[in-house]
Amino acid sequence: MTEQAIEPAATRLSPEEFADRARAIEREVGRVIVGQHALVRQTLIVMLANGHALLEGVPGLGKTLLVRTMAEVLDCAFNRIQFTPDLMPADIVGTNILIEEEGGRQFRFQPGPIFANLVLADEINRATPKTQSALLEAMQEQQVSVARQRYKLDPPFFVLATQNPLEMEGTYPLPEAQLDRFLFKLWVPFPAEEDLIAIMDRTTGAETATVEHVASGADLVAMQRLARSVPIAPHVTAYAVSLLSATHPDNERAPGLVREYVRYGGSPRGAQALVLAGKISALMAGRFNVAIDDVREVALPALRHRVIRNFEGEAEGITPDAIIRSVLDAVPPPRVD
Amino acid sequence: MTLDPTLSQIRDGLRPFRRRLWLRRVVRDGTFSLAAVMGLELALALAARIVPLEWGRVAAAAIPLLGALALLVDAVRVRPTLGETALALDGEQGLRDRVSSALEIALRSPDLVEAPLAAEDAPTAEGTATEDAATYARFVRLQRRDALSTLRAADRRAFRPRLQRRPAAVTVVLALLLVPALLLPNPQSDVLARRENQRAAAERQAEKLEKAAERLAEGRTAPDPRLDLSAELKKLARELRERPEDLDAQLARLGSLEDALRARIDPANEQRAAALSSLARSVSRLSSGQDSNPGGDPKKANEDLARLGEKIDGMTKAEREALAADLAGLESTARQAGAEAQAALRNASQALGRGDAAGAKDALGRLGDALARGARNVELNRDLARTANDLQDARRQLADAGKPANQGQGQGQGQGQGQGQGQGQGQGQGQGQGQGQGQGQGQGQGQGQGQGQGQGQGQGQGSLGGGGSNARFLGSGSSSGGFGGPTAGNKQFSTGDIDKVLADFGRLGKPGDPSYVAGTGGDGQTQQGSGTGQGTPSDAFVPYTGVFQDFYDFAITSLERSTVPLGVKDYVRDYFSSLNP
Repeated sequence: MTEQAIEPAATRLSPEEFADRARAIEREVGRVIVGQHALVRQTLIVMLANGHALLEGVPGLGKTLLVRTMAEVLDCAFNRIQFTPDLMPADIVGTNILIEEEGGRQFRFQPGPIFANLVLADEINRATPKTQSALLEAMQEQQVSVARQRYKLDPPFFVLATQNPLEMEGTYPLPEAQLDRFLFKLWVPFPAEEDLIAIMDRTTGAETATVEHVASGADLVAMQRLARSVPIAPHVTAYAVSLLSATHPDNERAPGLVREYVRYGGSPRGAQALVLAGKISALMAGRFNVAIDDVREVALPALRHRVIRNFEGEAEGITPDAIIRSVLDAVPPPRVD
Repeated sequence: MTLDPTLSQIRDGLRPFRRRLWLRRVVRDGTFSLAAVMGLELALALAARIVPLEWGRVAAAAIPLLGALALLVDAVRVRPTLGETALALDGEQGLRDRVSSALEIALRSPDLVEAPLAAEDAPTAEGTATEDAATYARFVRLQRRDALSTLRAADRRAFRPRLQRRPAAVTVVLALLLVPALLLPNPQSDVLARRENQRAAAERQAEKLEKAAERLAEGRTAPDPRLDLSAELKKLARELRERPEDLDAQLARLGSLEDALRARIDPANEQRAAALSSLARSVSRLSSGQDSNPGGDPKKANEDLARLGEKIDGMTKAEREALAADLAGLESTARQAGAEAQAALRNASQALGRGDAAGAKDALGRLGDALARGARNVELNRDLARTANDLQDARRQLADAGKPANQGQGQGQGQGQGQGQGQGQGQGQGQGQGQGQGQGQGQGQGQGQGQGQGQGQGQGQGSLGGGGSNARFLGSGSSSGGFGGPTAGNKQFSTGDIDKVLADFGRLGKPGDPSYVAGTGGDGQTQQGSGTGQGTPSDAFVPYTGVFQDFYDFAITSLERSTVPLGVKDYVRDYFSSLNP
């Protein structure tokens, strides 16, 4: 379909190589992105899990830069879509256009910006729901349908969407169904002062930081495949499920905060995200097994957008992170004395 | 099945940790058990101070045993599996689930348990399911190696046994509280001791009642009432054994039976017995002309009467008249022996007077029969009286056993002084003689605040100090120099609750005891007479031979009507026997 079609990995990747490459990607991204180590790592986890991330943060924190840098480091096709209220679905997925060729006119599909390995959906909440929903099929099925024709998106395919939590007027909050399709919702924190100083040094000088390709799309696919092969112990899987179950207010292990302020808990995709991200986290740490701590580490980004607060929760300003933390406290790791 | 060597080594490496984990669990649960045992012991000790627990000592001994048994069972129950050990080791040493994952995945993937696993670098067809399976197997192998190396590097001193702080602190506190709870005197101990005494007393009294029942039934045939009484006594004995703790009910049953018996007892039985003996002795003397029947045996008297009847035919008229007169002289004695004997004796006397030898023989025969029946009745009454006394004794013993151990001490007090001659008795009777000084003798029994009785004799001169006392039986006296009587009424005897139980007759004084038992002062005032009074001759000076019989009758009647032990009765009878003219 596209010129950047990725072939399956030519060689088998070992777990050690996985960790090395992941560290290399992090290191290379870190040459441009100052600080934000957790954000970089979590973004990488999303990409290695073949998922999508929703980045939320105030303007100017480097969200777009992060995604662009990722694309450069991974040597993937990158497209950026600036979502606006007048953006139409066809502007994303593409459309059939009438082409005059020798012998007559014919419709030809003109792919939209979605056809890339890495798609940055900037300020996704500024587009109408109709346009937002155009991403649904692409994100979940990794294909788009135009005029009864299906067009496969080449792997790897990532959607990294951003949204601004401050300027909410004229925005269209993402529906729960679409939110659920993001593996992680990442909160982009404001940099620490020392990081800001480094940012100033890097961005106001004559030199511009550049990155090198340290991995290809094929490498990424191989890493994704390897990550899914990591065996996980039943008690770790059970713990991930327990965490997810505890986000439901009617669950017996649900903490008070969940019972009081949560309308709906996380979907099964949440548990999938915990397990898959846990596997990648373990591999990136150089381990061959998933620990319960790996699951707990990814609980916040994997579940914070899947917990739907009720009116009281929103009115009283109970953050999803506070709810997830209470869940983590309520479901401690299984302990054998 | 041959295990994968790495997996086998992991299992072997976990075993020492499992033993240490097991020990830690046993120590942990032992601390809880100890705290529970201490708590239960303390609760038991406190409960035993509030209510008397007869099973308290058994429970106190059983609690530690049960605690040890529970710990033993728990020790078997808490023996950790290798999987638990792996989880615990991961948690304790921060191994990030390496060991537990290796074991659990081995359980989950049985095809990867057996040796040998596929070679790590074996070529696989890429892009196929086989490749994924090979990758999975490679991860499993890597996990096991990682787990084994982690296990070897693990601290061998893991799972150090440690006391649980909270239960250990609770145990210490409970132990500290338990010491005074066990060492300080327990007020319920007296209650328990009293119950034990009560049970022992009930057993003893049951045995006594059974013996009495056997004694009553021995050689008896229906319709002898003693057989019924024997059955009743056995029933009482059985109830005493079955419900020794029901003291009030047992006392009530004993009292009820005793009252029923006393109602049946002829109060003049001893008088009648004496009269029968005397009559038997006299008729034997009439028959044989000598004191051939000094014991007053009715059988012997019956035989003698039969011989006397045979002699009648050979008697002269004068001899018959003399015999009739002798028989008539015995009529007063026969009246006391019973109406039947009296009628037979009168008939014999009258028949002899009429010269009716046959009628006299017949009457003498009936006299003999009356003597025999009277003797049997006397014996029956005595058996009933003895049984009633046994019941009374049983009641007293049971009541004593049910009393607190630190009670029952009393002080008998009484004081009396008399002038002249006189004798005080319980009812305040006394006689005196004027004209100067004399010796007085008084008897009194008193009881103070507790219980007890005293008896004493006193001699003195001067006017009677009748100020009053708390003596049970009031004293009295007379004086020649003007009677100094009490100016205020004697204080009414009061023994409080002690009247609910029987008096302790075992504490009665005996001759040789102190002449008086000090008593508390009464409420009345003493007014002494003084001066030389002329006095008035009193009718009280009567030869005792003239009033002996009345006193004797009164005493015997009182003995029979009162609940007096046999020993005391014998004592009273001996006293009167010694005075018998």
